[in-house]
Amino acid sequence: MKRWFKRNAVALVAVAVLTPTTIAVTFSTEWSSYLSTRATQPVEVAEGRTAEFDGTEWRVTRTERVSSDSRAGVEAGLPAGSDLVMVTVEVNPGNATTEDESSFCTVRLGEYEGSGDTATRSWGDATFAAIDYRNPAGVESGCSPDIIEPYVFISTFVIADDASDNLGVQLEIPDRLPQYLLLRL
Amino acid sequence: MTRVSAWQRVGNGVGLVGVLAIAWFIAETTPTEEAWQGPIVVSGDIGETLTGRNIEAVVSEVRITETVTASNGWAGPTTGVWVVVDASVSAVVDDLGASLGTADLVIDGVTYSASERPDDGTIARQPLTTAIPVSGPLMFEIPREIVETEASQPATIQLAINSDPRADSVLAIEVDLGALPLLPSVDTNEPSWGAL
Repeated sequence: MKRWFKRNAVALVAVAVLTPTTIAVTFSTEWSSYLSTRATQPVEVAEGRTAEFDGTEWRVTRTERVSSDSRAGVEAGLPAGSDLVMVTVEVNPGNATTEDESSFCTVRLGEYEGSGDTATRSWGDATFAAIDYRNPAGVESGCSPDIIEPYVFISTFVIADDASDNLGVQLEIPDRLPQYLLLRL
Repeated sequence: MTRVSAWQRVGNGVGLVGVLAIAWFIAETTPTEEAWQGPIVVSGDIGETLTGRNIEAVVSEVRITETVTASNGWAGPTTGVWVVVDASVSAVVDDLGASLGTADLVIDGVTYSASERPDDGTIARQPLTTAIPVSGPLMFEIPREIVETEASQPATIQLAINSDPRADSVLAIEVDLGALPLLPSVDTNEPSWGAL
């Protein structure tokens, strides 16, 4: 038996190395192409700091949280057990011109644990939710690629009232995936 | 020419039998396509909060009725009967594209999907929010003969995010339709959004 192992040592080592390598290469190709289309690489931005991303400057200037039990919450018709979070983002499209337009983005609000950058729960933008809150006139409710001057938008989110204050806005620009901005609030 | 001893022959034979036994074991225990693609079922009873990967629900009441009138005034004529299920459903971790895409009633292997005819009078296909439930009725139109029997009539209510629950959670609530009275009519509540 010992002699058999000795005689076939090279072949056995080749099998031991090539089998896992083949599996790893096959799956890594699939896995990396899957990940490249999803927001998996956060670019973290501390609270109040300005970030440059996709040739545009982004900064959260104000965050407001309103409970459904409060007067403002009742006026906004918030569902029971929820809070309305309003995040004001200042956008400077930089050198964008009418030809190439400024960045288009989508935003979500994530709840985090500690300093981790993977959201434990997340909520989509509530612009079209069944509530009575509307942004002040003239204020955008999200990214506007046709605006090439500095502007402000307010994103709104209806979140569970048991969500902690460890929140962050996930700002995704399709052309920059898998990278995305994680603006800590 | 190398001579092979009797012990070596026995050893080779045992080795071959071992390889065949391992091959048989692998073939017998390899999950079928149905098993590895199938939904992950979370079972429970009426009134119990069931939680899956990204769906949480509680079924509060099940009724059988001749006629049903939804909150929006819709009344569904049928030659069968209606099973009205009151449920409260939310997403758990992420509401991106989440909706109550699967709301089925399975009776004796036959699947009846929740009617979408009541439109906004039902929570079927309603978008779901993370941790903020949507509550309201689901209406299932089933043949009359199913409830005309005196015998026990076990059925399963299945709820899942999106219309294809393969490889994802399905909440399964068992109910005995045979134990429920056939009501002449039921008026359902308006679907609502928020904690009850």
